[in-house]
Amino acid sequence: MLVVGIATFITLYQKRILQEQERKRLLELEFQQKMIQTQLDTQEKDSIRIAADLHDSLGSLLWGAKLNAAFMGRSFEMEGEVKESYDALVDILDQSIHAVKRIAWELTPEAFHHSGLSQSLATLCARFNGKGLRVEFNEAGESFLWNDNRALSVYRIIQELVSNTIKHSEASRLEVDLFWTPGILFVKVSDNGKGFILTEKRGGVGWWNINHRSKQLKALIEIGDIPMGQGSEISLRIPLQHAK
Amino acid sequence: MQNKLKIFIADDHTVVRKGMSRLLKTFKRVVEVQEASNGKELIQLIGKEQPDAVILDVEMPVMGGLDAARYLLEHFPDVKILVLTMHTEDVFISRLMDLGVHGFLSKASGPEEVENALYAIVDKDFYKNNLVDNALHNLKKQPLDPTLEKLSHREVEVLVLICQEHTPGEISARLNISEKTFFNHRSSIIAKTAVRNNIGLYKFALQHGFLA
Repeated sequence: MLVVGIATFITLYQKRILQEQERKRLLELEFQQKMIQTQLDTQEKDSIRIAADLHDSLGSLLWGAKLNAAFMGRSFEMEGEVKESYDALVDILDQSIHAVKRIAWELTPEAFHHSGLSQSLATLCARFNGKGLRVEFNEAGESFLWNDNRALSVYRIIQELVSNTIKHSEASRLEVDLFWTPGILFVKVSDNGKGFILTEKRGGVGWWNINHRSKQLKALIEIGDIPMGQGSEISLRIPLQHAK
Repeated sequence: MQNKLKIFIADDHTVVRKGMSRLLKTFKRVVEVQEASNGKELIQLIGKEQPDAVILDVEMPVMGGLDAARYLLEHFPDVKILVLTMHTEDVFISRLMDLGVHGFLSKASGPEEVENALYAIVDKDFYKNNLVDNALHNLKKQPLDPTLEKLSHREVEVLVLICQEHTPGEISARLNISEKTFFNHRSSIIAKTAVRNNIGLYKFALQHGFLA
């Protein structure tokens, strides 16, 4: 009787400890998810703020400098080295303004919420197209204007993959393909570069972003099994529930 | 042709405002420039005297360019508006175009472009550049709204010439009509197409296949 009692007590006690452990584990998991969410949200907000600042402060100031330079150019007859230096100055100002616009756009695509995923990706690809790299954007299936925060997350993942390819792969061709089905969006980002070694290159901030964003999207991410040196292929399977 | 232009500018950055003001004074047809640091100041200035055109920045504190443009179009429809912006994405330009703004320039344009744009909005009521074309290039062709009154043959001619960026003087000469008759046709076209100004006519003409 006593033995049975003790045994029951121990079993119950163990069960409670296990339950308690499970509860703690779930809480921790939830906490972690919240931290990641906060971190990703902060990133997004920072990008928007910095881009707006770049445009409205630095961009406008450079424009002011250009206007003053234009005035001087119209007020003096310049020649020789002075003229060359003046032309260089105007050229530098032009390049700076374009750099500001480019950086701001890369930080946060202007008008994402108006243009939606497809349009923004098409622009992204067009921007990187040329200079020894052919970037193609294709889509098939029933696409729609998907422009909420999940869509922006998908955009960020693809942007990260594209910039990885450009930085590391030495590819001459890059393709972004979307295939829209009623419940799922399939994405494929492929290139003909030198491929990458999974264990080595997956530690950076870029991959942290990709992994956590995919997790949030409940997306499956798959890295194509392509022999080293023959390009790379990354596929995503993103559920579209509540997207429409 | 109006050759003594009075131009007002609104921009919250003093360096931009002063720079623009100096540049404008080098333009042959500009005789007077006044400055405002936001939309509200601009409207106060315009309450006292009307310029031929204003150059508007979009992002300004107190009252931004969009609100200022809306107010001006409503209360001073004769004042032409040139918007200068860093935000050149199609959707933004489209929205401004629908509002009835007469021209757009990116804050990267050279002095010649600023000068051309200014003269175009004053002479032709609109300035057609790549920003306008890009914003309209995805425009879907639409069938004519059957509730709209049909344009006469002459009105279609006038519409096409306006869209080809001819001035009222050129159009009147070409069609052998007086400028007054030209403006009568234009008012009638604007009423029939339910747009605000020539940039609206250009969009209408593209949308309905009047232009090749």
